[in-house]
Amino acid sequence: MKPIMRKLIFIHKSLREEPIILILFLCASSSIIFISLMFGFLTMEGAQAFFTFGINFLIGRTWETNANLYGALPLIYGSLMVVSGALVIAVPLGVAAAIFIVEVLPFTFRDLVKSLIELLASIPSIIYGFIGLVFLAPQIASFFRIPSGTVALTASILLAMMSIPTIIGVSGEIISSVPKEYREAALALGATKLQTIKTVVIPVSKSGILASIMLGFGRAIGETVAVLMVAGNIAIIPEPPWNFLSPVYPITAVIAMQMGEAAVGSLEYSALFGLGLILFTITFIVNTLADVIVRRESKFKGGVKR
Amino acid sequence: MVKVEIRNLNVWFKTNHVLRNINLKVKENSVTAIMGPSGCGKSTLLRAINRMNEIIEGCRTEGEVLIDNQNIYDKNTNVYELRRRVGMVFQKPNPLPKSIFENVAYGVKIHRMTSGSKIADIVKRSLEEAALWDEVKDRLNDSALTLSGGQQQRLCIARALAVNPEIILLDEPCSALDPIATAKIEMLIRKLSEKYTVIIVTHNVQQAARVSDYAAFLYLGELIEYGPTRQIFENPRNELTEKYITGGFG
Repeated sequence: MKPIMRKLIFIHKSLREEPIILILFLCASSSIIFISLMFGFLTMEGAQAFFTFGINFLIGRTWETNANLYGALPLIYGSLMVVSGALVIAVPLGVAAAIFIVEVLPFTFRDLVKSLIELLASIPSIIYGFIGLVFLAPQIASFFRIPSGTVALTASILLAMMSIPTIIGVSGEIISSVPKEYREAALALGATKLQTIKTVVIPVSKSGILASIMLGFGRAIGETVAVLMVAGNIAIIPEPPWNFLSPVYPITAVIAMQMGEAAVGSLEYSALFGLGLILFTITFIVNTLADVIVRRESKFKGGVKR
Repeated sequence: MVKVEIRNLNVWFKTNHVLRNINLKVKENSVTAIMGPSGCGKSTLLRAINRMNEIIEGCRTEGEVLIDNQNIYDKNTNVYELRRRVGMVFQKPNPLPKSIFENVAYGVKIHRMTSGSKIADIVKRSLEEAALWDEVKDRLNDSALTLSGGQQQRLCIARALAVNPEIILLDEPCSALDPIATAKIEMLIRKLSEKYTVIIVTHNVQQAARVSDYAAFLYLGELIEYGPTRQIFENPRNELTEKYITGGFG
């Protein structure tokens, strides 16, 4: 009698569990499905451009709608340029601010500052673009004595401002999750606060800080409206290539500007989708790289017991 | 010789009066045990000796703690040098997520005490003193987190010894360990007292009886009784002490 009961209960349980497992499986796989669909869609729509120009779609230096000539190199370069400029500004500032907020700021102020930073992250990007256009660009123009302030530098500063909250938020979270025991270990040996930060807090949270930088990168490279307003939007590779006082035309800005005018199915239309595919690939590569580094880091730490 | 003298020590956390008028003299090269039920202020008393209470926000200390007749709460005390002289081992083993070698060398490097091959000598000597060398000598570059709990705790002791301390504070060092690891640590504590002044916090009465020369009983932030361990256990003067060591409460 008893084994039968047990079996019945088992069947009953597994019947109840199966649909839940199925639902969970679908939820878990949805993101993979979405990504594959997006990738497929972009490839399909962008195929024409790739077939027409071949490798020149990637390395061609001329992007000229009137001539129906689409070489995306200046746009790719523009995107990478403004984003790397932004990260050069945002990473030191953001990480230092996160360390300050978690390690130095008295507890009572911490929440206030944190919520202010979160507020900064939630300001619509059009507002940033506005500030960039009417305030930042003229300042830069007059400071560097150039005719127009809508240049790569302006876009970089603006993007830095927009990605700093992300970097502070995520790396602050990581830093404050460094176990108290580690700090105590260092302090009890006579380490100063600064030594503790340098030799314990930062090494332990390194991979998390890296992840926060990647999120900042994602925020910056995908940003469209603000960039479009201040980047100058001329499809050239600056001369020399590190000249941040030259206008650029980042990928997102191109897509946003031209999509409305492109006839569906035209070569231009396809080229814009091709751009989307390139952008997608860049973020994919960067994310994968970050993932690999983070994983290697945690492996190096050994069987971390937490 | 009195190594540590605590005079009229009072500690508050915000408005909570944790330690009340503690007076205590700790003899050099002895093991002194601080016993008492949870929350009586044992750890706070221990952490007052290397000023580790200060890292907790809202902590206020009054009174004096003298080490070699120098008040460590003086304004011109170098607290980092103090913590080098007064090593500390925590309740939960807390090796840093670095290699075994780097853990022991950590304090030496922080204080720039020496460099190069001499660091390796210090690491070896410290691990030997902590009775861990034979177990780890072939894997010094492995992560310290791969060690067992008892080994990790001995590593933490080695780490504290590496910077040439005079006093070792142990905050319930065995409460996270199994009996065999506990026995090893206790043996080690006896041996350490030949060279260092050892103060150990424990809520395990038997452990206090086994390892200590002197014992203090703390209750609700007050020092109830203090004296040679034998006398405390065989002939306690205070009723509360007697109750505690016979398992009457807590």
